[in-house]
Amino acid sequence: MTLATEWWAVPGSPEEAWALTERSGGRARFAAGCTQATPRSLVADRHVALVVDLLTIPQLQELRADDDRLTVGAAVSVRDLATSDVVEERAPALTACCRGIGDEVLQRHATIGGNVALRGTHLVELATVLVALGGEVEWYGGEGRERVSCDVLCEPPVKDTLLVAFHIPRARGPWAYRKLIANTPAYGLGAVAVQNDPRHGPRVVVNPGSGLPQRLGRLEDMLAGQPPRETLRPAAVHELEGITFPSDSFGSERYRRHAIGVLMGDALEEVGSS
Amino acid sequence: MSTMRFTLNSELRDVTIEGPESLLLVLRERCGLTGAKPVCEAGHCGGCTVLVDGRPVRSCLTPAARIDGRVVETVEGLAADGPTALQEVLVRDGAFQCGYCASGAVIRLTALFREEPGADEPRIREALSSNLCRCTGYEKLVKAATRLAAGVRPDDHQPRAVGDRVPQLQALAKVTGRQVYTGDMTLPGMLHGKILRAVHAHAQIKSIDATAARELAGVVDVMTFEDVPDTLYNSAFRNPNDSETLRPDERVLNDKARYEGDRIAAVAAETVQIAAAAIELIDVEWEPLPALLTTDAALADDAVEIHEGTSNLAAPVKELRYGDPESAWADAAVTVDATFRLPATQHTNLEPKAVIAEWVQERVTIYATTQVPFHVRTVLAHALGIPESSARIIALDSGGGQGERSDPADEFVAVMLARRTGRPVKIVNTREEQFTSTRVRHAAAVRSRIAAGLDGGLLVRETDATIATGGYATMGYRVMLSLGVRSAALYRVPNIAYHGRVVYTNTPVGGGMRGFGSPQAAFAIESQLDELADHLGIDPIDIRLRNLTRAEDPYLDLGEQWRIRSNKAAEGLQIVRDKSGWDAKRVTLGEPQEDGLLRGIGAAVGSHISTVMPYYRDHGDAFVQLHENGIFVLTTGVPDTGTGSSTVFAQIAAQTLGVAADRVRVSSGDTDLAPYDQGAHSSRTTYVAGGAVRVAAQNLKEKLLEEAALCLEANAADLLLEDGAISVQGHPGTSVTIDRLAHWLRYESDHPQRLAASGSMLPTSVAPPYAVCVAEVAVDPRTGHVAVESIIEAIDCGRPINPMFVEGQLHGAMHMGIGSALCEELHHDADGRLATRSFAEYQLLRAADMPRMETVILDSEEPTGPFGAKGLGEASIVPIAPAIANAFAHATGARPRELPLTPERVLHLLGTL
Repeated sequence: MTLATEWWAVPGSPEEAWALTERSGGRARFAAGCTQATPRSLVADRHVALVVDLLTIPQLQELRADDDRLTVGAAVSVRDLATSDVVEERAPALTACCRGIGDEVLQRHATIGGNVALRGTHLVELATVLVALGGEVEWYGGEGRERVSCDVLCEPPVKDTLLVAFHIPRARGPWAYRKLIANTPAYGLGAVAVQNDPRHGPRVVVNPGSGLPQRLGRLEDMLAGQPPRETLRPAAVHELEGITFPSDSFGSERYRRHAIGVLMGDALEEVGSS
Repeated sequence: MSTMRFTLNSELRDVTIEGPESLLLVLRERCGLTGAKPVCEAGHCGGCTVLVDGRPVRSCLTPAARIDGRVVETVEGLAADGPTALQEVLVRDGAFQCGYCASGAVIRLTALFREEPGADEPRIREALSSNLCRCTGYEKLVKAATRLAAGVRPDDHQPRAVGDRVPQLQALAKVTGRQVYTGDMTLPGMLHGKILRAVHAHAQIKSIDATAARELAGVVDVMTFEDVPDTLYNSAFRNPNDSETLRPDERVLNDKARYEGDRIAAVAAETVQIAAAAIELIDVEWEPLPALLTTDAALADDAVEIHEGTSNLAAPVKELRYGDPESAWADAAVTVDATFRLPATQHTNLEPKAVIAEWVQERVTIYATTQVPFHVRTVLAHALGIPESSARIIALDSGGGQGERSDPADEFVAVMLARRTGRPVKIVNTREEQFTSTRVRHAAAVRSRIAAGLDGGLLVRETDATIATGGYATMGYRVMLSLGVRSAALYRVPNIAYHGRVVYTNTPVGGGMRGFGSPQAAFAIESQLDELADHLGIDPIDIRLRNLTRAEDPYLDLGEQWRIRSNKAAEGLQIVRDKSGWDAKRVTLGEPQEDGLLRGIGAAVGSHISTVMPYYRDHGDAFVQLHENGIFVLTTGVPDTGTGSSTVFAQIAAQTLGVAADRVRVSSGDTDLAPYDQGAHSSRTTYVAGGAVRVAAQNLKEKLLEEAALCLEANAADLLLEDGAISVQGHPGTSVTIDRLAHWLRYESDHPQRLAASGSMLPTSVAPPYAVCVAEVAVDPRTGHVAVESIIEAIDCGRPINPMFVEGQLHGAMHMGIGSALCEELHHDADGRLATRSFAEYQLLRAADMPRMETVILDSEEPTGPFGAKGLGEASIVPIAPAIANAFAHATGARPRELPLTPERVLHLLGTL
């Protein structure tokens, strides 16, 4: 169903995809949802000699629920996640996040891996939720396959890796997800996600608008101690003082800090009082 | 190259693809299907949506290689056996205007209804939020789809002529993807042009080297600023008397960057991709200069000159005075004084600007997305030093206007490339070029001081306005003048002083945009009326009723001839007051609500014009002929930018000629075929051009009756023309149909001829339309978010020629007005580089973002207009943002001085930040 040509490769596995890029002399690009690396931009980029289509790799399309774990291939579409009953049951914060991304048709194009891969360059939401949910990310790179904690998503992408899958534990306990938007919902300025899992402890994550999520350890510790509700919001504000917020023409550092503080307070109160 | 096989609209197709190109490109360039539109090519707008294996996808994001073996349906395929029920209802209910978004929306709805045939309105809105539209506010589209899903049957009324809801003549073509826009056209041997645009907001060019570009295979020509005439021109120049106020300051290609996006060089190549690659190979050595991004910076004592040898004032300063403003302040019971600021905003027409130029035997034909074909011809002749007779401009129906296309910008580059290469050249903007390099609404700072007496009567108003025209003057002077005079004619203010300045800045060039200065003025005056009312303890609507002009009032100091003939603004205010529940809500809202939100209700009034007379000469001609097949053909110089103007003309002609509108064909926008007309701008289309159509049709009617008298051997004075036939009054059996008369004239009479007549209109009134608006907002004081919850607008546009189009104009005005109030704004970085370069950054409201909307067409008749009609497109946007700002002030107690009301500005206003 996908044409293989000298400039469009259709690998069957992550390993094959990786090998293709290795052989291209740096002139290959991965393509999945094509929401950022659009066909137009690929054509315009004269350095691109080969496009490696990740949507042809079955493993990257996998969406599977085991007893206590959800496995999401990196090329699963945001729309599939947004509309999946099993995802909503296992990881409702992920569902909420996906439903707030773009529009329905764009969600069909966008993939979870593509969204995560853009962290640090765009405001992307999914890394924030994945860190809050815990679990692991599996990728393929020069060292072969690796499977590491999703906390690694708090760092910029490691160059020369291919995202393969996300292994998400069944979420237990209350959760909250908030996205800071401009006056129209399509435009995000930041996000917060909280998962208060009684087994593994709370996870409190903020995306200040830079695209890189950050865990707020002191708030996590505090939440674990079941603090009085009225202490949560001031604690959120205090904790965010240590975070660097970006400033641009769409929102100043001061505004983002304030508004995300409000959202974080809301999220903590929702989770803490559940 | 590789060949893929797929099923396209039920046919198996083998198509060659040459790289990782998109399905959109393959459909348009290899398969000849141009229904899917290249609106943004970045996945933001939905204009290119098609079905792949039954599911909606954005074809711009879909690599063609993935289509091998799949089933693709485009909008053209849906109507292979005739229009679908969805397409029919969208036509009948006037769902679209310019139609450039129609293909994508039809596909999106088709997919929805296949899965959810009974989808309700919220679900339809959610689904349609995948598709951007600029004209309609989505309202008629959503409502039509909802009615279809609910199984509501249409009534059997057959619309005929004036006053009826006649669908656009082009509506079926638009919903089936068969409407041809300029960018859809291909001419034999055509080259593709691209323009090298400045990457700095302000910079000298130290050197330019195009050697590598010229050597790239497939490149046919490269030209730089060194290759174009030295002639300076002003793109807005229309009349000889413009030369004093519209400074000629730009060239076909410029030798300096005066804003990011300025035209520097251009390439013609065999493909768009090669042309784009060649542009990248042109090596320019820049010497950056300080970027003056605001009028304050440009007017500073130490500011560099953006145009060397001239100050940064781009036009003469305008002073207007009526009455005795200096003395009037002494009688004031209350005075308000503040400065109001609006940013540059963008038209965001969904169709990118496009032009094709072709020279044949020393004559150039230009197909262009322009609102003003005759004007383009005039400026072209001046810029290139050729006679006007050497150019023919054909303005196809375009995918939006909104004023963006009321002066030429890149058209002449295509003309020069075509002349140099001897081949047709097409240039189509990318969406990014639309943002960086087309026109914008002038950013404005309006200091306004108004005084009133204890009874609320306005005594004096003094306004000092400064607008940013960007890198070139274009029509900045006209906008500044309009800002000063249009709002002044809305209220009875006996003493007025106005001081207006137009300032060069290193920002995108200001141009015509819906409202043309009136929205900037209205934000100030409508805000201050509320403030005056507050100070005096008067209801905001009452203070407006106290001061509004009425019919028969003078229009400023223009004298008896230009007095206001029709004015239902006061009646409109009373109606929206009642419909909105104003009196109760002014009490119950404005207090904290249970849900933690602050709610308020606000009103505003706006006006504009139906002609640029008497400040500028404005006239139009029309030509109507009867063909031997009984069809009337109307020729006009006014292109249809999506407003439905061609249909309005047909209705006017049909009403006059006693036939249904479908008996009238309209040919528009071709300077070789049409009589002169100034084009689609200034809300003049219905009033002036429609007035010319009315006269032409009336003249033809008289000829018809004369010929019928000969045919029937009766006295012309005894004849009656109605329902497609001419009969002798009192002898209904003695009659001849128009069809029969046309046949008789051609084949049986002793003087065979084509019956034709022309008509002209030189306006004798400004014919200002009036719009009144009430909006309700909810403000989240914690995050600063503002939502418009409902909006109602009433319009005095005279007698509506087509009520469906009037409602559509109001819905579109609401969309743009709410956007202006809440989120639309062009941003720059500190160096003047535009930050809002796509629909990802420039916030355009989607279907799910729109509030409850209600429209009211006031019972009015303009005695000087065709069938009592006057303009409406621009007046309708004027009160929207001010009403929202006033509702915000009611909700929060904080008075906005700057728009849009972004969450951050709101928190500043509330003292939270």
